[in-house]
Amino acid sequence: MFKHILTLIWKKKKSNFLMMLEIFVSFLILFAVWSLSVYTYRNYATPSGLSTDRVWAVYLQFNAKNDTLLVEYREQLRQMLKGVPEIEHYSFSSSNLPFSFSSSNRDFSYQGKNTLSEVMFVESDYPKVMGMTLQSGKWFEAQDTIGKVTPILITSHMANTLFGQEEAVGKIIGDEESPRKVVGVVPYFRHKSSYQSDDNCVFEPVSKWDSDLLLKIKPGTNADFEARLAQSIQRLGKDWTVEIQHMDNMRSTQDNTILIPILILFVICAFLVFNVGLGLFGVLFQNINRRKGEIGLRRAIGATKRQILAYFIGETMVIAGFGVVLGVFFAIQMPLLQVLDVEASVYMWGIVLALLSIFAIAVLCAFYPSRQAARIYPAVALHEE
Amino acid sequence: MFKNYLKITLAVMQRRKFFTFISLFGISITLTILIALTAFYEHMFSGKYPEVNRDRTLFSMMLEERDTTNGGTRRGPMSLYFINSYIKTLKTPEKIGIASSPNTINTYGNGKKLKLYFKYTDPVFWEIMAFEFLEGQAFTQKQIDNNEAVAVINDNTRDDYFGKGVQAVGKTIEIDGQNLRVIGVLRGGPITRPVVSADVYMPYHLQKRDPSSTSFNGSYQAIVLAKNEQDIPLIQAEYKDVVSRIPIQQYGDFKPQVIKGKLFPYFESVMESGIMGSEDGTAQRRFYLFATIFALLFMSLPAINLVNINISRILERSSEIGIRKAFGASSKTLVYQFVIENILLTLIGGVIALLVSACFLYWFNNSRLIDYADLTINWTVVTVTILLSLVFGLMSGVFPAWRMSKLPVVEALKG
Repeated sequence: MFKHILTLIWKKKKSNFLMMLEIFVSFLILFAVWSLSVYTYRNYATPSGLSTDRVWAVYLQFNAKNDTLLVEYREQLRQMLKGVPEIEHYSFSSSNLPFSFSSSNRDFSYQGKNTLSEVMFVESDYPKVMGMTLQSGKWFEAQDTIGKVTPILITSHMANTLFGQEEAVGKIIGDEESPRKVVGVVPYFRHKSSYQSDDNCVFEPVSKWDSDLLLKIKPGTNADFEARLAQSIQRLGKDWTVEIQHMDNMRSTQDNTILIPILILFVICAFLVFNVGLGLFGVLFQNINRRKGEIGLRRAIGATKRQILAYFIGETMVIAGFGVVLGVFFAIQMPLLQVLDVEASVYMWGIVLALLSIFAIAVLCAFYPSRQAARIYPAVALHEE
Repeated sequence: MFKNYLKITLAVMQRRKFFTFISLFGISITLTILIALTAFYEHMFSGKYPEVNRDRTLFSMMLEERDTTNGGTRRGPMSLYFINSYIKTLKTPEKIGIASSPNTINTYGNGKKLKLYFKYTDPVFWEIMAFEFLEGQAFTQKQIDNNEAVAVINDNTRDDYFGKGVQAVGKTIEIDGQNLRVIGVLRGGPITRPVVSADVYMPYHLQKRDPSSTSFNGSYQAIVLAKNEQDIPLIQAEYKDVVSRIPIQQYGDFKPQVIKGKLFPYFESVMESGIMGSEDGTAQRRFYLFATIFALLFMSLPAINLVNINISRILERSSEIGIRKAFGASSKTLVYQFVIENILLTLIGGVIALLVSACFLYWFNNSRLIDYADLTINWTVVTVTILLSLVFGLMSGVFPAWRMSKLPVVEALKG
């Protein structure tokens, strides 16, 4: 039966060409959309390694005339924060806070291997504020920061990139002038958005210029507390600029900048595919109408309704198959040529899902016209002819 | 005769409602999506309120200092000191204004938290931008010299802070611990024009940063208005010359050797740091190239679909063609009829698309997804897409019909 359909379609390849072309282009579009969705979903499903619940970011500018004042101001603020019972933990940080729009990165190398990483300057209470766990080693303490060797923590993604299977804790990276020692590894730290892929991140002790602040607030505080906190910080220093943001909101802002374009893409593709579906439906309907005689003949020599239905659906499948084979050929080049730095399995899922959706659309579109065909009475059809 | 064709067309469209629907749906949905996308593009990049002079405006958003030996780069907005010493001294431009880069601050007015975009600007900024003032006016150099604590706010901020429609001029608003006297209320601009739009505008002397600092990096961007478009390359050349002679500063560990500062038209300066960015300012041309390729790819699917549907429609009507030929219609008459049919179908699709996209844009402008959004329909895009769908329609509908009209009557009748 399959071979039979194949020969028939091959004979009519000219008239089926447009349909195959349409399937081919739709396949490529669906492949792109599905791959993107699988990629995004996978990232979303990976643990983020941090919690934004009840975390506030305080953007602070001391506007100080010299560096010694900076250290002094930070001490003043520290004293004040200790006296606020609503604050569970706090940590000063560089301005590239998680889910903020700023970023600061640097190259790190170990035995010839190079990798670019985000660098955050934080304090020892940072993991408590952000709800982080450690995979190995320990977090640096205030007294560790005095020595010549700077203690740092890295994500396990970065440890794998630099050290492979070797134990990361205890390794020294960087040049002789400013050596850095890995004292701990965190499993994940996806700080750009919920849809960021697992990436490098380095934590170093704060320098005197880092004046932004992260707070973990006790549950059950009201909106009034925020205004009071902002005012009491403001009262400490007349020249300071203070802005409080909730990290939940910062995260959803970042998530939206990624999610909204994807959703728009989805809507556009849905319309395109719907359009193609309608077109296929129309063309198939037309084709079957024109082949009434053939159907009548088939029925007259013993084909059952079921067989006619199966035959026409099968024919559509084969047409779709031709388009899809060409599509898969192009799609498979993405993982083979490593065009983008994405796991091959993402593309494989993309191909599988695109195949499924193309065939689902083809069956849906072919079903009604084929049932019409199966209902044709042989006598009527042959009489018309 | 023409009226007859119209009647036939309408009859045909009604007889095969499903096919008509598919064709109309394809044409109108493609057109709607293109209209919406170009409306967003225009909203972002073409000069609209309050940037009416964008055609002859250049921007300097970033200064880049690079240490080429140790591989460190610092880029960001500039300090007042830098702009005053190296940009405000340019001779060719008509006016040079400054505004700080987009930033937010909270204010806790009326018992609720308001997140406000604020900007520090100089008086020239108001001369370059055509803001529409609902109350009061902008601040002047005199107020800056007198060190007055004043602010200009937009109508949304007035409504949120003081209450809807309440007169705000003369009242005080608390920003960042300072009590500022409101001297003007303006009609706001969308935040998608980040160089000029903000909720609160303050004169630059209110910024808490140390005014005696001579560091190059700060929070300001420069807006340079040329006398006319022909002056733009001259200004760019003058600034390039100035930048090449700037004495380089060192900051602690960071010892840059190269300074890069540029004056670009809006599109290039926004894209400067993005994927489309380029050293030579050809970002816009490349963007158009990519956009055209994308649009063609996007339109290829509905186009194939339209061609496919049209061919089926014509094949279905082979007996009609046969009969009309048998009664003496010439090929010319038949082709003429199909041309009319296709044009009518495309135009109806175009009208539907216009209605749908007008509704969508109206909804979007009023949805407050982006405050002060002013998306409009781009008629060039509408015309081009309607013409394109006409070409495809004619190619796919008229060509097979013409070929069929050449067939001997008997064959056409047989179908």
